[in-house]
Amino acid sequence: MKKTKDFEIIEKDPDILEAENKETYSATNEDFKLVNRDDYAQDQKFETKPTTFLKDSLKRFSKNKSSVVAAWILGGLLLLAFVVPIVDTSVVSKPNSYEVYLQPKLFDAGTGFWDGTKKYTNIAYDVINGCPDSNDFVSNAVSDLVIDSTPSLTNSYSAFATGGYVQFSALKTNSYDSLYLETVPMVESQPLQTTVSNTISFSFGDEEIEYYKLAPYRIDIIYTTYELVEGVLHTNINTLTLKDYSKDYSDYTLDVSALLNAANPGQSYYYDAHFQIVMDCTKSDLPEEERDAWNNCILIKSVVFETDSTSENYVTAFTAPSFTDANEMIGRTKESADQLTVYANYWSTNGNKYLYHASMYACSFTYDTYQAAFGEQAQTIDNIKMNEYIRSGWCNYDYDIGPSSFEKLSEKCPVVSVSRQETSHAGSIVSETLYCSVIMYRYRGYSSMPRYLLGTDKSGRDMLKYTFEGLRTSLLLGIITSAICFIFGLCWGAISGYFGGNIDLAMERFTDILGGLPWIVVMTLCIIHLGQSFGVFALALCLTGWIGTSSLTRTQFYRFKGREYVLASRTLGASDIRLIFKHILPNAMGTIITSAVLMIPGVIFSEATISYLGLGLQGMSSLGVILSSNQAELLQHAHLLIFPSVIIALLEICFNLFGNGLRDAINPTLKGEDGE
Amino acid sequence: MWKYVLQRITLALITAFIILSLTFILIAALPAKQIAGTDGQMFAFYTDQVRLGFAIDLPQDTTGYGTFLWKYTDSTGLYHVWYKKPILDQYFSWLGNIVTKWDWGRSTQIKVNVSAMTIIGQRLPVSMYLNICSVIISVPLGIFLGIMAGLKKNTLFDHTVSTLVMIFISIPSFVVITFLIWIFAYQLGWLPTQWPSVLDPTDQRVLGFIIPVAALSFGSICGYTRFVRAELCEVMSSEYLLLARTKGLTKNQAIVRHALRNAFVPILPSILAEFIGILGGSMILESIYGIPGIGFLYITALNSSDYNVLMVDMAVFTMIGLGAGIILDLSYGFIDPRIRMGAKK
Repeated sequence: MKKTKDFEIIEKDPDILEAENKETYSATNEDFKLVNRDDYAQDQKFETKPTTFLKDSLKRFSKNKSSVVAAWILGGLLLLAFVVPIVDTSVVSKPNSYEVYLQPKLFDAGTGFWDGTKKYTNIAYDVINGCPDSNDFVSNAVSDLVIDSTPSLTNSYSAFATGGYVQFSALKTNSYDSLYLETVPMVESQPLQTTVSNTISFSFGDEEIEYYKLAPYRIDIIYTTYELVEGVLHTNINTLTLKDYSKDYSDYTLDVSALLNAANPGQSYYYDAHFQIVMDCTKSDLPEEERDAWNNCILIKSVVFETDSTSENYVTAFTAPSFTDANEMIGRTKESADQLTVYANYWSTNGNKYLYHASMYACSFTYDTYQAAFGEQAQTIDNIKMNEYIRSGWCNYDYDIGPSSFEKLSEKCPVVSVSRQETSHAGSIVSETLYCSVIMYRYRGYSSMPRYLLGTDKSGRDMLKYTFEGLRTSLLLGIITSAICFIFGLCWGAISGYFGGNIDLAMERFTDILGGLPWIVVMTLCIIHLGQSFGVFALALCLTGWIGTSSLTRTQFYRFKGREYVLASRTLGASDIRLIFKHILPNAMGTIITSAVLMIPGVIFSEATISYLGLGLQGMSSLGVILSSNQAELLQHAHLLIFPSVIIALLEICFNLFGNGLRDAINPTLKGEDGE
Repeated sequence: MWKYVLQRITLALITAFIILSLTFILIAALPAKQIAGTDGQMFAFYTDQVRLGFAIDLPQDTTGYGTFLWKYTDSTGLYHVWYKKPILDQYFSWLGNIVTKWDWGRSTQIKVNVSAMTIIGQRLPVSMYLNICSVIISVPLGIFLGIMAGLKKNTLFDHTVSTLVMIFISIPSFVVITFLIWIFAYQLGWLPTQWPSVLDPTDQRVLGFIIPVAALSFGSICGYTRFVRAELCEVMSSEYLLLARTKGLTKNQAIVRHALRNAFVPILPSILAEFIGILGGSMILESIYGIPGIGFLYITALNSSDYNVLMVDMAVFTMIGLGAGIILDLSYGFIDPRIRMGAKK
């Protein structure tokens, strides 16, 4: 900047000027005084240092508070993504099966927040053992146990339930709105033979009883007639009480013997004694809204077989099997036969058999997952393990004396007490099995109770490490893809924009077609053809990703290539390469770089989306893979989803804020606009 | 104008043709999966494939013809062996079927031997309903918030709205729906945890719309708000608005008659385009909430390797994308005649 000091305007006080203006003001020669007439005027050096483009951008960027914060958060995430997987020593690739579904833990248990505990409600309560469902819960990790005062009704068999009804049901046929139970062919000579379409047969021991249900003539009187027909009944069953919840509302008792005789006079049926079915057809036990849904089933409340003591034909196997408890009855078919003490060990039907309305006490409690996995538990250990502890000097134990000789010497010893010892001989090798109470974390080789900040997932992976490993993969994929797209898009757009004309036209048509392909289609095709590796993902994302950069570059080139300075340079003989790289590109760079930065969150989003389609990266964790694989756990273990979701949301927000700040800083003319 | 419209549509059709051809060839090159059906269904399917020109039916085993598909002895005792035709043959048969019969192929896994178009047709309405609901909610809300924020620029309200918009536009939709399900369905129990079936009571089915529509709308509301605010801010600082005020119009008159009208020029087409574009955007949402729409169908078809259905689904998404682009460009011209897209200098 040049400033010649030829004249100097003598400034006057504005008030005086104004006052003078009101009057007549005329400039006299004295107002203009020549100064330094004899001095040689020279350029003067700037006292301030010249600022560079980068510094200027940085200054503008730092004014934008939200972008600065976003940049710091991004930096933090980047750092964590690379540091956490290295610092955190837990093994993610080979997770431990005993550490599954641990809750996030930062504080000690009992704090009530972030302490590795989980509240359970509505869990079956084991009345006999006085603890919640002992199959799933370790009793010493349970606290704040509250048992419901009234039992709840359950429709599924439970080891802790009692009472209930047995319900038979089967598939619907199209032609009959009734039970359809396969296999048993109809016999022509059935009593009251109408359109008999279905049977239920169930067996007690060796005996088979077939229960026929006759389909109605008319649809509106469905299920009024039920009969128990027995062809080869060699036993003395008197009454079979069936509870039917169909459309009938009355008790129904059927004497089969009479029926059989009436229907088939003269035919020799062999039955010992009075035999009848009592059908208690009240529907009142069922809730109003459920009645219609139960049309296709028969509920049997209880089955009572009364042996006729007068009969001397044979000593029946059914001495006294009286199943009044439906839950127990269903349980018998589920559990092993040797648990059953009664002869009639087995009850089977051709249809489906369910439990209905058994009662069960539920309870709610706080469960310390760490205590359950790593606390004191009963555990059997062998002599090899015990010898190890003895050699380490942690405890003393004499196998000849037995459990009473156990002596704990060090706090490091996992074994707390020994209750029983079993010796087994295999040839000359003697092996001992010790039934001990063991502190599990010491037994697993930890020096103190582990503490996973974000808990563990279904395979026992440490979520903290796993998530940050995923973040690292996602970020790497984002950065690599953006870089490739940036370079390729820049070249394509530069050529297309700089040369224009037919080259531009051809290149544009190509991008038009490629751009018309939805990215999800491109990715799907790439992945099913080439596999689910990192490289394929990068390739698939790059295939359509560069188009944005290219069209932006093209626009920028069109904008700048006609400028005077380009023309000037061209007339001086600059080559195309020089024009592109020295004159046009630097001007266009800001906008293009910003778009490349903003592409990173887009890539991460795309990767997550494709993971949800079931085509996620294989053998690697990424945010998308973690989120989609844990999606099913939302109800039970929401913590597995919350943290990765927060990370991905934070990442997207920060990248967008940072990108917008960067765009404003690099290209001040666009400030305030909301570009995509 | 009409010339331009025709030009755009022709170009889009050519693009669609090339894309679909490429997709078909790439998909036809994939190894075929065994049909999931009974022998009878498979027999019907392969007989149909021969009729459609994708396979060839030979009376005895032949080596070196092509990829072996299936062999079967039918009820009359005739022996059939089916081989895949070469990909180019299949391609021309496919083209021919579409042009002459509008037949896009048969499903191989989802519903064996049912026309893929029929399956898409059954799934499309659910997606449409959801998106219509989403548009009905998000357009007025987004525009309202945008106008309020634009008029009260640089106030607390504006800053709050802008921040929220920034946050919600960044959070992926699958994260939003995950949290909505977790909070409103699992924790509070107000809404169904997944898409209610047709058999469920009406109130449940209505409640079932809330979560997916909300998840779909969040992004659109934020998009509209940001767009309307930016447009309005630009118009508000323009000179003709100043002129309107100097003519003696009140602030409200100036805003309603001049600012809003002009601000809406770019907004309306974007609504139209978004309405079409959103159809494809609900893929993950549909799969998370179990909605039987075309997005969920895409995933089902992909995971069960039902490539014919996948192909048609891809075609639908491609056409939606291209259509949205055309409508967006054309509607500029209709709404504001000064804008001539693609006009020469």
